[in-house]
Amino acid sequence: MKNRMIACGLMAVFLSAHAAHAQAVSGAVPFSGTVDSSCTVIVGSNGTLAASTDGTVLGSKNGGGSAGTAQVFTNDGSFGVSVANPTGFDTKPGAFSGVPDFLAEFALSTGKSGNGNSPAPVKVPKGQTDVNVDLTATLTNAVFDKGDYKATVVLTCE
Amino acid sequence: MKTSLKRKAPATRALTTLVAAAFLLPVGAYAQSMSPMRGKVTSFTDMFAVKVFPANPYNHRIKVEVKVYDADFRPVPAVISPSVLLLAGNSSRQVTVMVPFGPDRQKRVRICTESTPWAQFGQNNIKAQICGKFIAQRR
Repeated sequence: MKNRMIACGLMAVFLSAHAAHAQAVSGAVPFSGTVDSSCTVIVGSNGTLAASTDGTVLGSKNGGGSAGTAQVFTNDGSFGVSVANPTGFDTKPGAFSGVPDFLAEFALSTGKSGNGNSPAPVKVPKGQTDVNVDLTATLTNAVFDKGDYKATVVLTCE
Repeated sequence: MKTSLKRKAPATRALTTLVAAAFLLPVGAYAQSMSPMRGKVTSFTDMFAVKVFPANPYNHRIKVEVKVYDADFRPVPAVISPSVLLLAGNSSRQVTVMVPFGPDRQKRVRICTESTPWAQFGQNNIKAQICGKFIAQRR
C-alpha cells in the first residue's frame, strides 16, 4: 500500500512536470529582409504653359502658367535628379513652323536647383524631396500661333 | 572555358548568363519605381544579365518602358524582357536585361525605367525616368 502511494506520488510529480514543460515550449519565427537602393518619382501635377504678352515666349513662368510638380523619394543619399530640355513639341498647331529654344528648369525643396542646359544631376537627400519643374519655349523673331501645344520634360533620378 | 562557351548555341549561352546572374545578383527586391539602383556584375560569357524591379507607386495602372543607355545616355542594344509592361497600382514586376559586352571587358550601363505620361493639351507633362547604374566585368 505504501509502495503504491509512493509510485502514484512519483507519477503525479512526473506528469505535472511534463505538463509544465509542454506549456513552456515556444518557437522562434525568424524574419529577414533586404532593402535595395531605390528611387521613386511621383509626378504630382502637370505644368501649364502660357504665352507672354508679346507672343514670343510660351512658358510655365508666364502669367497664367504654372509649374509641374513631382516628389522624389530615395533611400540612398548618393542619388541625384536632373531634367532634359525637350527637343520639340509633342503637339503643336498645324500652321506652326517655329523652332523654339526650350529650357527646362527644376527647383528642389532643399533649395537647390538645376536646368536642362547643365544636365549634371543635383543631389537629393534621403527621404522625400519636392520638385517644381518649369518649362520655357522661346522664339526669336516669331510668335506662337494660336492653338494647342504640348511638351514633355523628362525628370531623371539616377 | 571561354572556348567551350563559344561553341554553345546562343540560347544555351543566354541561359548560362541568366543562371550566373541569378547567383550574382540580389533577388527578391521590392521597392517603388526601380530597384536596385546600383550593381556590379561579373560574367563569364559575352553577355551579362541584370534583374531590375520597376514598381508602380500610384494607385492606378501605368505603362512602363525599360531602356538601356550608356554613360552619355546613348541607347545600348540589349535584350529586355519585357521591355514594355503595364503595371497595376502598387505592384512590381521583374524585368531581365541582357547586355552584350561587345569588344569591351568592362561595360557601364544605365538601366532606366520610364513612365509614359498622359497627354493633355496646353500643359507640359513630366516624364519620370529612374536610372540605375551598373558595372559589368567580363572574366
